[in-house]
Amino acid sequence: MKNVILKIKNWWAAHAPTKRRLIQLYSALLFNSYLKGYITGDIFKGMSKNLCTPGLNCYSCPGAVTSCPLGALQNSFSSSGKTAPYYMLGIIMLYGIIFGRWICGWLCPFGLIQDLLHKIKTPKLKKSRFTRVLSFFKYVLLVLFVVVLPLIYMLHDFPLPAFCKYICPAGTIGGAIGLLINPGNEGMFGMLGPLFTWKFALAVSFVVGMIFVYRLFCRFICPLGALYGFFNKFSLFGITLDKSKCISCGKCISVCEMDIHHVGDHECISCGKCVGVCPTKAISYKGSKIILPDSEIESAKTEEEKAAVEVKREKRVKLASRITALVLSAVLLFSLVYLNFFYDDGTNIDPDQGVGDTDEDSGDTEDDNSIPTGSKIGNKCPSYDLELVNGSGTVNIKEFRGKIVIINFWGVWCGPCKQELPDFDDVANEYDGEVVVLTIHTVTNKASAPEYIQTHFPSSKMLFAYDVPLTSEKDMYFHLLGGKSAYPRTLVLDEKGVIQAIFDGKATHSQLIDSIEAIRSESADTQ
Amino acid sequence: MANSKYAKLIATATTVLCILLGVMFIVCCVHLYFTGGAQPYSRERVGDYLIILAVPSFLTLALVVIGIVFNVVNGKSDVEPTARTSSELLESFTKKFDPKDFPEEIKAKSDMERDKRQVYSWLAFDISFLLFLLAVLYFDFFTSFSIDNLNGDVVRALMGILPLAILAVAVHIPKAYLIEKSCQRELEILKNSIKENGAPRVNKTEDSKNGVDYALIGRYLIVGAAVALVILGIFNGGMGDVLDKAVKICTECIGLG
Repeated sequence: MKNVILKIKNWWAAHAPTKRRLIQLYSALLFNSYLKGYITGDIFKGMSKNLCTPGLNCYSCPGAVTSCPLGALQNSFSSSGKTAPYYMLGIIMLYGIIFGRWICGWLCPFGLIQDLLHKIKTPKLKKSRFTRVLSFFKYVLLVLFVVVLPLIYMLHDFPLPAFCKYICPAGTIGGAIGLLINPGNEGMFGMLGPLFTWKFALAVSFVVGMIFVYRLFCRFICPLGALYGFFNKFSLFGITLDKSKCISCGKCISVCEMDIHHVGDHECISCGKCVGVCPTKAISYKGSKIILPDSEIESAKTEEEKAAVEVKREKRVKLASRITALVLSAVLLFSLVYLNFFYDDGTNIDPDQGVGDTDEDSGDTEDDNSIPTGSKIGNKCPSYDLELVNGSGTVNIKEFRGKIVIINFWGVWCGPCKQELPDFDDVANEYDGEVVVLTIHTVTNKASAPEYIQTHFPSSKMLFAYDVPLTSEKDMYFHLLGGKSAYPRTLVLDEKGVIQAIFDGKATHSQLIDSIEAIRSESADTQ
Repeated sequence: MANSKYAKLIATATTVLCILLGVMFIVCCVHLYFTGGAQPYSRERVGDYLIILAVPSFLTLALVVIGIVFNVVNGKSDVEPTARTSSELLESFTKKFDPKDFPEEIKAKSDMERDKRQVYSWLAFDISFLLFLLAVLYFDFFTSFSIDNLNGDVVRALMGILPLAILAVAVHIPKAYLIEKSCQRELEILKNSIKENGAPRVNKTEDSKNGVDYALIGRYLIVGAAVALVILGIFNGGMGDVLDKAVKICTECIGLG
C-alpha cells in the first residue's frame, strides 16, 4: 500500500500540470466559456465579441465569447473600402507588442490542442534544416490569404476571409463540428458540400500531423504567429537572454522544439523549456524588473545582501502570483456562471409559437387555418409587415396568396448571400407573375443595402425589404422563421403560404427550380 | 529492456492506427461527397459512416490511453535534444576565438568559406526574388477574380502562385545544406589550426549595446501607435464591424459550403 502511495506521489510530482499548462487551460476555458452554446446549437452574440482573443479561436465556435483576431483582420481588409482597418491593426499591434509570441505558448487555445495531441506516444519528427526553412511558409500564407486575397475581393465589394475559408482548421473543428453535433442544427447538413469536404480533409490531416510534429500549425501555417513574431524581440512578455552570462553552449537551442535560431527570436513561443536547461541561468522571462527594480538588485554587493534580495524577489513573485491567480479565477468563475445561467441573449421568440397576425383576413379556408403557424416545413409561415428598401412602403407575404413565395434572408456583409442573389434574380425573371422573390436584408449594415441593390439589381423583379425587430433587436423576423445566426437562409412557400422547402446556406438555381416545380406539380395534382 | 520493447510496440501501433484512422476519415468524407448526389451530407448518411469509423476510433483512443498510462507507470521520457548544427557550433566557437586572430593562411581559408556562404545566401535570395516576381507577373496577367466563379478563380490563381511560393521557400533548403557544409569545413580548419598552432587570444565578451534603449523606444512608439489605431478604429466603426461579423455564423469560414 505504501509503495502504491509512493508511486502515485512520484507520478504526481513528475506529471503535475505546469503553470504554463494551467494558464493554457484557463485561457481556453475563459475564451470559450459560453458552454450553453453547445446545448442550444447557436453562437454567443454578446458585446464581448467586440474584443479579440489573443490567440486563434474561431468566433463561429458555439462556446466562443470573443472574436478571432485573424478572422476579424481578414474581414477588416475585406471591408477596408468602406472602413479603414485601424481597429484590427491596432489590436494586433497591441497584442504583439505586449505579448509577442508568448500568446502562442501560453494563451492560444489551438496551441493547447496541439500540445496535447503531441503528447500521444508516437515517434516524433525532429526539427532540422528542412523544418527551419519550412517555417517561412507561414509568411507566404499570411501575405496571400490574409492580405492579398481579401483586398482583391474588396475591390469587387465581396467579403472573402480567405484563410478562414480555405485553410483554417480551428473553424472546422471548433465551429463546424461544434455546431453540427447539435441535433437542432440538422438543417446545416444541407449546407455541406465541396468546401466542407476540402476543409474536413485538411483539418484531419493537420490533426494527424500534429501528433507527429510539434506545433505543426504554429510552426508552418499560422499567419497570426507570423504576425506576432515580428514583435517578439520588443514584446513585454517573453524570453530574454543575458548575453553577459551566456557561454554559447547551445543547450537552449538543442532542447527547443521550435525552429529558433537564438532564444527569443521570431519563432520563440516562450514555452520556457530553455530556462531550465541553461547552465549559467542566462535565460529568464521578461518582466522580472516589474517585480524588483534594478536599483534594489544592483545595490546588493555582498553575498548575504544578494541572497536577501533574491528571497525578497521570490516573496514578491509568490504574492503577485497568488493575487493574480485569485483575480483570474474570479473572472473565470463569473464568466462561466453568468454566461451560462444568467445571461439573456435577448431572443424570446420561439419560432414554433409564432408571432404576427393570424391570417384572419387572408381569406383562407378553415382547413388552411388548421395548419399550425411555425418555421418548419409544413407549417404556415407567419407574416409581418416589412419596410421596402426603396422606401415605397411595406410588404407582407399575405399579399401574395395564390403565388409561390421565395423568402431569402441576406446581408451585404455576407459573401455567400451576394453570390446567390443573381440566381434568385434569374428565378424571379423566369417565373415572373407566378413566383414572388422577397429578399430581406438584415438590420446589420442596412445603410449599404440600397446602393448595392441599385448597382447590381437596378431593374430586378425581386422585392427588397429590411428585416424588422419583433420584440427586440435580437428577435427579428429572421429568428421567427427559424433562423439562428447563419446567413443566407431561404424559405419556399406554396400558394397557401405553407413552408415547403428550407435552405440553410446558399441555395442554387437548380434547387430553387426543383422546389418550385415540386410545388407546381403538387398543386396540379390537387386540382 | 522489456519495458522499452513494449513502449516501442505501443508507439508503433499508435502511429499506425492514428494514420489509418486519419486516412479512413478522409476517405469516408470524400466518398460521402462523391456518392451523395445533390445533398451529399445528411444526418443519416453521416451517421452510417460514423458507425463504420466507431471501432477504429475507439481502438485508437484505447491505445492512446494505454500508451499514456504505460509511460506514466514507467517514468516520464524526456524529449531528446536535437544535435547542434554546424552553423550554431561555428557561431559559439567564433565568439571565443575570432578567425581574424588566426594565422594568415587559416584566416584566408576561413574568409573563403565565409564568402562562399554569402554567395549561397545571395543566390538563394535572388532566386526567391525572381520566383516572387514571376508570381506577381502570373498574378497580373494570368489571373482574374470574379464573384461568379469565386472558388474556381481562387484555386486557379493559387495553382500558379503557390508552387512558385513553395519553390521560393524550398530554394533555401539546398542553401541551408551548403551553408551547413561550409560551416563544418570552416570549423574543421579552425580547430585543426588550434591543434597545430595553439589557441589564439580569447575574445572579450561584447559589452552590452545600447540596444535595450532602442528596444524601449521602439516599444513605446508601437504601443502609442497601437492605442491610437484602436481609438481611431472605435470611432470610425471598425469595432462595430468586428462585432457585427462575430455575432453571425460565418458559414464558409467553418466549411459549411
